[in-house]
Amino acid sequence: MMVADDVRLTLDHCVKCNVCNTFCPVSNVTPLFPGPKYVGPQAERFRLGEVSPDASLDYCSGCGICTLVCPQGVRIAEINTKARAAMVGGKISLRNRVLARPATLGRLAQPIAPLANLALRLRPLRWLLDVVLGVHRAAPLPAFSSASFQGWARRHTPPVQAKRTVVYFHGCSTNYYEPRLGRAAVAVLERNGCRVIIPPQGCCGLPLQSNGDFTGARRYARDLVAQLLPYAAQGLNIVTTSTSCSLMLKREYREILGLDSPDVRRVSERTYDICEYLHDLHDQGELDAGFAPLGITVAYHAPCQQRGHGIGKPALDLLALVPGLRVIEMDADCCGTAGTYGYKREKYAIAMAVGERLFRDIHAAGADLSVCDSETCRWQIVHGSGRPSVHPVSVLAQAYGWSP
Amino acid sequence: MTYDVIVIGIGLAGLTAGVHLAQAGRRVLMLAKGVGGTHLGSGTIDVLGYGDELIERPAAAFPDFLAARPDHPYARTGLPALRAAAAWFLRTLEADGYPFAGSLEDNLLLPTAVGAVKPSALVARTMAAGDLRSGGQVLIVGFRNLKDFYPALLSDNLAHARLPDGAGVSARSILVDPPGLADEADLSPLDLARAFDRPDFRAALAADVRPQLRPGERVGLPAVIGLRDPLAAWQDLEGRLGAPVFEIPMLPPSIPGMRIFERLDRALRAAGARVHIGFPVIEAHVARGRCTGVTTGGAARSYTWRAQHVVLAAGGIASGGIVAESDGTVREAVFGLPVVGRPAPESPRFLPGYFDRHPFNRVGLAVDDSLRPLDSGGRPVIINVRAAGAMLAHAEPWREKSGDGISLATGYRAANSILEEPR
Repeated sequence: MMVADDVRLTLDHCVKCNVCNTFCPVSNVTPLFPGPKYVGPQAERFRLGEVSPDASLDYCSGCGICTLVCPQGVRIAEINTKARAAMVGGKISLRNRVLARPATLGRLAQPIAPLANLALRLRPLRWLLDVVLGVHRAAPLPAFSSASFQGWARRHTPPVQAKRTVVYFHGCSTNYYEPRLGRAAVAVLERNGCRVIIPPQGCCGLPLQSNGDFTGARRYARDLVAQLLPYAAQGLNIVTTSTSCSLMLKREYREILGLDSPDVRRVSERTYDICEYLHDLHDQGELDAGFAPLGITVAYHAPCQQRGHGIGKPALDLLALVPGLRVIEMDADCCGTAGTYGYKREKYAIAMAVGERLFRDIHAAGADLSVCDSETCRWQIVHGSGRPSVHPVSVLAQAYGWSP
Repeated sequence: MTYDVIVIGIGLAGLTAGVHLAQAGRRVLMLAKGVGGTHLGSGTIDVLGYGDELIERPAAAFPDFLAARPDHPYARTGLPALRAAAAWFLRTLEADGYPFAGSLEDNLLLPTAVGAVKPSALVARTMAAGDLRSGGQVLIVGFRNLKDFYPALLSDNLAHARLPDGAGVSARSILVDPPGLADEADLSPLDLARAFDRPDFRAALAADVRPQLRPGERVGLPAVIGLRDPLAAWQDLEGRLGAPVFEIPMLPPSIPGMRIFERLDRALRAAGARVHIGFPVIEAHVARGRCTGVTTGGAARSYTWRAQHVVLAAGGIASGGIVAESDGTVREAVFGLPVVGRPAPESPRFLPGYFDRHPFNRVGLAVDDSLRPLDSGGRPVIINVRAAGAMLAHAEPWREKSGDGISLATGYRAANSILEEPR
């Protein structure tokens, strides 16, 4: 007898209206994925205690748009994520095991970053990775940074005086690929009177979860919760620049991985997306609005996972505080990459086709820069649009006069 | 952060109110549990199709229709609000490359997917040649593997139809394979609409249909002629077939409704509105007869959004804006506003015949001329909350063919009523 869970029970609300199918970015561009309604609520009826009879489930990118647009509250994406894990059944390809461990990759490659980056730009090696491993040769793999963010954090001297203390959960990408974002985040937080604690921290487990390895993801999740819990227990807020990782902390540990302990809840309740946190400060009249003018046009794309937070689009309100900054909101739904999805040989073309409209709109907007809260989305947008892409907090840091 | 107006719901009524307010310079926040009725309806603007009988001239029929139904939502807005809303709608859609035809003076009579004849006031230009009043011969083209659209059923039923002037319809049908998609076992309207975006698909289809076309025939197809640029796709197909082409709305997902949603959503963002879909309102904050804000659920915590005004356009029973419990009780979901039109406890909620005028079908909110929901004493319950669309009592949109017109007129009127107040 299966234990009924809340996510699964929502499928009874499905009225087969097809709204999810009209919004699904994947089924919009490929017949390999028949759409969230078929793969989700419909197929789920054949999956009670059984493995999915339909392998097309693997082509769901997990963007979560179906859940957002469903008029009846069916948690379609979450149902599918769980069904995929059941279908994978612990038998995870070498490629997916590698892609799902950004922290391990980072630790191995960072000491030899120049060499690793050079190697990843070599066509024969990318060809080999493609043919042997199944990582698409053109996929926008990020470059390793030669210095970790944690290394910088250990040397960083925090301000003497502070009005408040926050914990920064930077995630793997900031540590190994984009330490500059971490420094910008710290600069913006310190400018606003925060003492920023940067504890040692592991991977949130999202890439493992997306690739169907719930056992591995739960292990990472428990470790991270243990690392953050002492701060949450003191009542400190945990601020993050990685919007999909923070969604794990906020909800998916409980809803997808089934880790629903008081400790997980305590960490979850204290977790804030950095724009959400800064926006709250602004609401309380506590945000330093001393931004210098930036005479540029930026295209803002709220990534799919960001919309799942239920916090609105605080980045838009914050960017609106910068004088001279022209911000154009993109109405394309998805960039296509959905974490590691777009790296995979069989899915790269799908991810690029999904993102095509966004890339086109960024050009049409005449944007100097695109702004997006999620790291893998930014890499995909740079790859697809040829324009640079940064986190909103990097723009705020620049407007504060901070330079890396 | 305080908004001027929060609009709850993103069906046609919410979209109309939101776009109109944002275009007038108000800071608008759209909050929706999910996507609304646009994706489920026909994508035509049906304003008034039936009173006691079929209505050919909706504007002219208004006085008699309302005299018999003094509580109808149209009695609150009046015809001028509907006219203004319709003009705004036509302008807005035309400006974004999806022009409509028709007017409030005259209903077009379009075939439905089962070959019934439906009166609609405003229809996409891609549908207008389906107007059966123009007589002539109609060829209905269906796709062999498309469910929910059976051209033989459609043309047979049309052949039995009688128009108001007593004339019949001359219709026949053919089935074709969709070029390149003939082997798809589960072809959806979406698959076809995306295929119609491609010139090569339209060319191959036209090459197949054109030899089967008889002189003087107009060609009816399911409403799937393109999503990206439906006007261009339709014009291209007409050119290739050398005959007028028209779309016939089919079951959800509604491709014509998606086109409307896409354009009004774009208009919202272009006018600076915030659009949050997947944000169900879980609590309303009311103090001393004023709403100060509403709360939505979130991944880790709920969020409260503040505004000067609220337009409640959350839909009727089917959308969850009005909740009917199994014990017969009925409530409004967000504010718990009084619901009227409920049959008395002892009297039947439903009548035996499917097409009977079921008493339960007219439940909803009673409102004043500013569309503020009223209590049993006829006083506004919350001074800065207005209601629009399918939540309103005393209408039977499916019988009257009035739902789109009510949404347009009340969404527009709710917005204007806010704009009339000092800021």
